[in-house]
Amino acid sequence: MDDVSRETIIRAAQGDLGSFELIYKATAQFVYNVAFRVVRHKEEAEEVVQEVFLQVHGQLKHFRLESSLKTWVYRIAVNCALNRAKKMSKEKSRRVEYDDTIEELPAADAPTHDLDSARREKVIGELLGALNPDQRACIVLRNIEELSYEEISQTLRININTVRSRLKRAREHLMELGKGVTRDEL
Amino acid sequence: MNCKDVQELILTDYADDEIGADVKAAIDEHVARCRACKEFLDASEKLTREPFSNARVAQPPEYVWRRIREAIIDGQTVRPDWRGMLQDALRRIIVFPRPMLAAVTVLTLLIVVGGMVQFGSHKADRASDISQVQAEYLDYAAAMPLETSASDTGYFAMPIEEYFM
Repeated sequence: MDDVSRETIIRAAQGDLGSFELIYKATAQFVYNVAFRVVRHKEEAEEVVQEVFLQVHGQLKHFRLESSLKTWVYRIAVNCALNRAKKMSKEKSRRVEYDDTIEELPAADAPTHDLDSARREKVIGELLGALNPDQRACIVLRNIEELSYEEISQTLRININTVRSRLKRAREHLMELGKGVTRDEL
Repeated sequence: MNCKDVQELILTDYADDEIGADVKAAIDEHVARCRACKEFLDASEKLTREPFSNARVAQPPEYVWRRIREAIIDGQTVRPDWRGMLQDALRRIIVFPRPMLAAVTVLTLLIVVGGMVQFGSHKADRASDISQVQAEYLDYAAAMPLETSASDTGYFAMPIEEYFM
C-alpha cells in the first residue's frame, strides 16, 4: 500500500486507467481476502471485489488526499462484503436447500496445496462461519489482516470500545465452540 | 487486578498488543500466580489466535481485473456512496464527544422544562388576573342600586318609550 503515490491517486482520479490499475494491484489482495473471509464464497467474493473497485473508481475524485487510502479502501471492501454476507444470510434462510459447503481460499502460488494448509483453511472457514457478520469482520480485520483497533474503528466507523466488545464476544464464542469440539472428540 | 478483568484483557487488548507495558506486566504476574487464568490464557491462544495464524492469502483471479476494466471503459461505474460521504462530512463538522453530547442534552432539557414552567406560571398569573377582574366587576355590579319602579328611567336617563319616539 505504501507504494501508491499521491500522484498515482491524482492521475487515477482524473481517469487514467493505468494509474487505477496500480491502485488495484496494490490493494486487490487484501480486498479479496477480506471479501472471501466475510462472505465465505469464492464467486461472491469476486463479485464483491468488482463492486468495490468500481466504487473506488467512481469515488476517487472525492477522496481526500490527506486521508489513508488503505483505510478508505478497506472501509468500502468491508461494507460491500458485509452487505453481501447479510443478503446471502437472508437468502439462505428463505431457501430450503442451500449449498453450505465451506469454500477454501484458493492457494496463491502452489499448484497443489498441502493437507495441513487445507485443514487449516477448513477450520478457519468453520470458525468464521460460526460468527455473525459484524463479529466476523472484526476478527478478519484483526486476526488475519492485523489492523490495529484504531484502524478497525476507522474502517468500520465504530467506536473503539465497540471494536473491543465485538472482538471479545467473538472470541468468547470461539472458545465455547472449541470447548464443545474438545468434549465431542473425547 | 481480579480474574474477571484479567480474562477480559486476555481476550482483547492483551491478545492484540494494544496494552501498555505496565498493564501487561501486571497481567503476566497475575497469570503466573493464578492457575485458572493461566488455563484461560492457554485456551484463548489455542482457540482464538492460533487457528488464524498463517491464514492463506490469495490474489483474485486475473479475469476479475479484466471485468473491472471493461466495466470502467463501458462507463458502468457504481454510483457514489452519497450516504457514506454525507456521514463523513457531518462527522468532520460535528465532533461530539460523549460528555459534550450529554451536557448539550441536559442543557436542552433544562431549557425546555424551564420554558414549560415559565409558560405554566404565566398562564396561572393570567388566570388570576382574569379572576381579579371578574371579582372587581362583581363588586361594582353589587354596588349598583337596584331600580324597581316602572317609571324609572334607570341607567339610561329617559323612559324607553320616549327613546324610541
